[in-house]
Amino acid sequence: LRVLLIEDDPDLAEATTAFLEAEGLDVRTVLSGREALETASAFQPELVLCDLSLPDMHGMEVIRELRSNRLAPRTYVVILTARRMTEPKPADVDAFIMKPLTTESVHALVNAARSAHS
Amino acid sequence: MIVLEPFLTSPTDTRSDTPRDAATEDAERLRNERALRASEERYRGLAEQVVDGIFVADSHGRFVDANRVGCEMLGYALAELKTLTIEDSIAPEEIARLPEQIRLLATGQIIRNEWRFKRKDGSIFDGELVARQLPDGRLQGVVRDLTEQRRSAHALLRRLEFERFLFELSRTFIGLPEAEVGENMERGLARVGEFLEMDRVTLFEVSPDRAEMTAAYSWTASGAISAPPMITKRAQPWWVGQVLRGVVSLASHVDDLPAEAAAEKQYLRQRGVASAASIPLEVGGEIAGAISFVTVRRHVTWTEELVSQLRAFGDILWNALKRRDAMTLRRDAERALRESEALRASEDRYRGLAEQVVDGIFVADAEGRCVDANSAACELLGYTLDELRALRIEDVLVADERPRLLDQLQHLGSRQVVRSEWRFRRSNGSVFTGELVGRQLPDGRLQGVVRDVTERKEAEEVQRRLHQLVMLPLEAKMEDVLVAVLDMAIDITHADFGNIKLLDPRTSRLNIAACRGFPQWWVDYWTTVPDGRGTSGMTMKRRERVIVEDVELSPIFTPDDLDAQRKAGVRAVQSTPLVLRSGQLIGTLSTHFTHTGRPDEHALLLLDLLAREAADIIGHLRSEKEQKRQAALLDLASSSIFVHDRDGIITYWNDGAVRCYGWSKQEALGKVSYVLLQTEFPEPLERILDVTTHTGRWEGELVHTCRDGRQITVYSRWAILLDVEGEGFGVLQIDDDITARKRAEAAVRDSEQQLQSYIEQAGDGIYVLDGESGRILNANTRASQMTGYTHDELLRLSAADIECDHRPVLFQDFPRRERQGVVAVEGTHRRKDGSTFPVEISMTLLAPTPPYRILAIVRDVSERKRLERERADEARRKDEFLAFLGHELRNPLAAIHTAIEVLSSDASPVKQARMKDIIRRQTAMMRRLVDDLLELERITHGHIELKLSGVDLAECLQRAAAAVQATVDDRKQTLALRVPAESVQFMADGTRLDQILGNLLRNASKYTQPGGHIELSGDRADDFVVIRCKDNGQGIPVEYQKKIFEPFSRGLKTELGYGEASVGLGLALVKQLTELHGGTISVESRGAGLGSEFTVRLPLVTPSPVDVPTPAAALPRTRSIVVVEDNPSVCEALEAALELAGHSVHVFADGPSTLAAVATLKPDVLLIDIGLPGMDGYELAAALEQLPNTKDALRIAMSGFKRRDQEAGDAFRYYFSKPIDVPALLALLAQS
Repeated sequence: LRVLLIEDDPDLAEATTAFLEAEGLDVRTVLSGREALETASAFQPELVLCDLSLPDMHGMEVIRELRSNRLAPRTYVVILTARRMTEPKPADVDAFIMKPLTTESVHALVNAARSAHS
Repeated sequence: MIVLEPFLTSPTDTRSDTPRDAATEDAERLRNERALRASEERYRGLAEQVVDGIFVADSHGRFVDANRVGCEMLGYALAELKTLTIEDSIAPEEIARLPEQIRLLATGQIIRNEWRFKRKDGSIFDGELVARQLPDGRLQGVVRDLTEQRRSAHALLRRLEFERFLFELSRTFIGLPEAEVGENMERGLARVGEFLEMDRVTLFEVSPDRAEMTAAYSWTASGAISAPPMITKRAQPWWVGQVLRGVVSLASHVDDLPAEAAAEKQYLRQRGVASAASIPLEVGGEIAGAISFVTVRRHVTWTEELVSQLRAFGDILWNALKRRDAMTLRRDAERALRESEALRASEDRYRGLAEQVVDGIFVADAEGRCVDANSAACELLGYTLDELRALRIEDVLVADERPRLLDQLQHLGSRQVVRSEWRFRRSNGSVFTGELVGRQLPDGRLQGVVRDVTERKEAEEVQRRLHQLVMLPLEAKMEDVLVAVLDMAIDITHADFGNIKLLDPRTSRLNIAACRGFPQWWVDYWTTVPDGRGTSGMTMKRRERVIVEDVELSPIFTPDDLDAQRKAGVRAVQSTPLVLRSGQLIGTLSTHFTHTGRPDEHALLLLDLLAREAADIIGHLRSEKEQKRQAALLDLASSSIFVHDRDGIITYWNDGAVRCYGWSKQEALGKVSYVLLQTEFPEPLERILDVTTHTGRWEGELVHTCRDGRQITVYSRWAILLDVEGEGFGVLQIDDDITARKRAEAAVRDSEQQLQSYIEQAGDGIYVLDGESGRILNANTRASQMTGYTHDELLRLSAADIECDHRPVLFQDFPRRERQGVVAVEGTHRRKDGSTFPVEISMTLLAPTPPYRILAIVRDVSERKRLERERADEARRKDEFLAFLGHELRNPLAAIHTAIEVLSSDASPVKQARMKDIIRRQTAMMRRLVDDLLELERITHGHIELKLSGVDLAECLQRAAAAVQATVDDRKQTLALRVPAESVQFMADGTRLDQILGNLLRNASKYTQPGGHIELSGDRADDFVVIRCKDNGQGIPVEYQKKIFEPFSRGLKTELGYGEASVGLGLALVKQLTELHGGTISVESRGAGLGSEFTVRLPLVTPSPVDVPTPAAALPRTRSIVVVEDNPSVCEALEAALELAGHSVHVFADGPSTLAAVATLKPDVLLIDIGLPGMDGYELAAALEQLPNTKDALRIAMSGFKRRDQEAGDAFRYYFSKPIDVPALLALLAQS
């Protein structure tokens, strides 16, 4: 399963990448919104994990841009946050996940992404 | 200070002279008019009580006001008078001198002179005018009708007559020899009876068994029935009972007697008695007799005054009688004989004379020794007869008169009658001037008749006073005066009967007012015939005297009238009109004859004079009646009225004064008023008398002491009394007891003062508002302070000028809706300078009826609002802080957590190493975050102290750059460092300075994209050290440049669209630390994406030589360190780290073991955990400080908690919070 991870904190990005790879996933990691937009078209991820706070763009903005023409419609898009989200989930986001990622949540996300594609 | 009174009533503001709006002026004018009217009404009330005419005229002489007496005096109604001028009211010959007098008044003079005034009907009267100009320019005149005064003298004569009669009667009886008492008693009764117009006067004595009363002496008028010689209980049980019980019995009409007096009624009716009175008489406190008075022809009103006269006469006569009895019974016979013989002998010598005169008569022997004197002489000289007999003539003269005496005695020797004036000295030393007529008696002794000229003058004075007292309520009776006049008329005309008829002013009918000699049926007959009939009717028609010489021949009588005259025995009549000086016809004075003929011309002339005097008296008495009514009202009003002369001697004292002050009339008369009453005057008495003399009156408050010692406050009104010559001779003083009122006023004042002080001290603004308009009627000082307006300015404003949210509707409805209770609203007040502040207003209605007044209490709630806002801010910050913590801690936690997950999987060794690095970095970040938090909190609460020492700028910059180099490298950024060309050394806390620079650099790196550029520079600029940290990163929008220095300014990033990232605490901490150094921090950025430049300016304080930093290399690098820590894992880690750095380390787990061990050690550094079991770190440090081996060691505290204020004290030099920043600790050890 192709996973695009967008996370600006290098340590967290590295650890998460290692964690996801250990789960057997094909992970592509970027540190900014701009890189994400550059990568998405070619990589065609089936699951997108995006940090909400990025140095150049807001996470939501990144998702909107990705959804507009760079992603397959059924791509499963998840927002990673450091706080509990109280606002309603936008239509182009499939889930909010609180950091840190756990094995259970990764399995659930992978299942959700697979069933979305099949 | 605000006067409270306006708060409670209506305010009167005279303080401000600035223009007002029209409504204010109207209200004020209305108020002033009302006050003026009230004072005028008071003045009028006073003016109406005086018997003088009071006029007010304007400066042109036009009348503008007059009192009732004034109108009556001139015969005009007030409205008519107001159309006239002064010229119209005076006789034509007076007009010429008027302008000069008005000129005098204009100069402020008071004029006092006589004028001839002209009445409406053209008649003229003489009056005395006292006039002055009032402060407002109008003229005020007080006119006294002088004819009025002259005629009043006659009524007074009657009164004087009584006094004189009583005096003479007592003189007759006091000291009278007992043998002559009987004879004198009968004469005395006769004189009393005649004087009082009684028909019978009887003196009864109670028998020893008290069963009957015997008539001891009795006098009966000719024609009346004489008294019964004896009255028994059986015959008149009620009356005898009354007498024995000591009760006065009075009956104006026999039928007035009570039912149980049936026997008495029958007896008296049978004898034709009209009125009767009896007064019990005592001897030694026991009833022993009674005096009775009876009238047959007329009914007597037994007034209190009359009864007191009866009692006075009774007492005089009775005492004489009883003294005689006592003497007869007990006196030594020989002495009685001698005395009576002596008296008889002396009486023989001059009785004839003594009976005629009231002069002092004395007889002296040839040597000038006094041998006898009459009682008048005794009284005159103040000696008893016995005392006088021991004296010589020269003893009763003033010393310097004595030489003259010898010369005079020689003249007497030649049997001449000598008349001369001498100055006599009384027994009490007082002196009087007396006229002496002396001659030698045939037996060689000398007789002198002394007339006290002083006494004569005094008598005149008494008369004048009495004359004036007629102005006051006295007891003169119209009836008595009329009868006296009628008797005189009968005497003058030698008539047999007579009557006086008067016009009733209310019914205009002619009534018989007094009558002599006619039977009742005749009186009844003439009462029933219409007016205009008979002689008096004709007199009234013609307004002149009518004489009927023979009724049988006169055409004026109808047959019935003639028949009545015949039956009554009337043959001739004369009727003289009674005309007031004003020309008003008031009645007739008629006398009737049983024979034909007319009085001679002389008699008629006298009759004219009498009629005029009588008219005067009647007119006067009528006005006096009015005064009496007023006096009665004054009495009811509890006024004390008395008269005193200029020396304060009381000459009149009314019942009110008796009641008020407790002194009876007898006690008060003759006393000096202000001595008797211990008067406390508000100003010197002389000034009061002066004012009274010049203005005619004075008013003020006096404090008097009553007979029982009570002090009372009275409102006193003084009026000058003028005699016939217009000289002031006395003061009429009317006192009203206002003690209770004063007390109440004082109580009100006290409570008002309390309220006022409360109002003034109140922390709230207090306003009184007009309920209708909202106008500010009053306000306290606090209100001025709150609004910035002066008190006067506030009074020109209304609520709407102060209150921004003023709702007029609330005000207009207020009185209707809120009769009770308080309305509270919130509002915003505007100050004079336009600034506003929030308030709470509570309003109450002061008066439940119009004009409505609202009391508004205004509280400035800005402080409270500010606190509320701060509290809300604080709560918001707390929320933000918690959110911040959640976010800032979760990111590193997430990284650590994830890295641990990876580590626990079978990751490659390389990956494992990477993961451990991540964990180490993120843990350090978290530690820094927590340290920043604690540090910031300590700075905020002032719990941090800088440890200043000399630092080198270049070293600082290099150290800071080195500390972040790794981070910058990680982010592929470049860091340029520019140090000053020359060494810059200054005083700073090196550790804090490292924090400042480190935070700035980390911040720059964080917000600069990878590959970006960062520049750190520092140099000296004038007296400052200026450090700049510049990057080409994201930059900061201008509107956020100030906010970024606030802690937890999280919202900023979200709005910027940068997600949830937070600026964190770094910049807030930098700002606080910079300011602690007395420096400033600023940021400059041209906007988003254009980079930022932070500038720190610190004051350049040059270090003293001792503070100059020494190169780090010079410091010893190896230390002996003692670590005291009870947590073994912490111990191990520290021990390992320190030993790695080359230090020698000794570890202990608690205080006692440390203390035991240090005796053999000499450590350079003591690293002590605060939270040790048992003896804690502070105690241990304090103990170690006392020991020689450790007192100089560097003490460093370690704690899991933030440091408390006092913990920065002497015990520890440095403080590390756990987990310990090992590199920082090593750096410290390297430096110290």
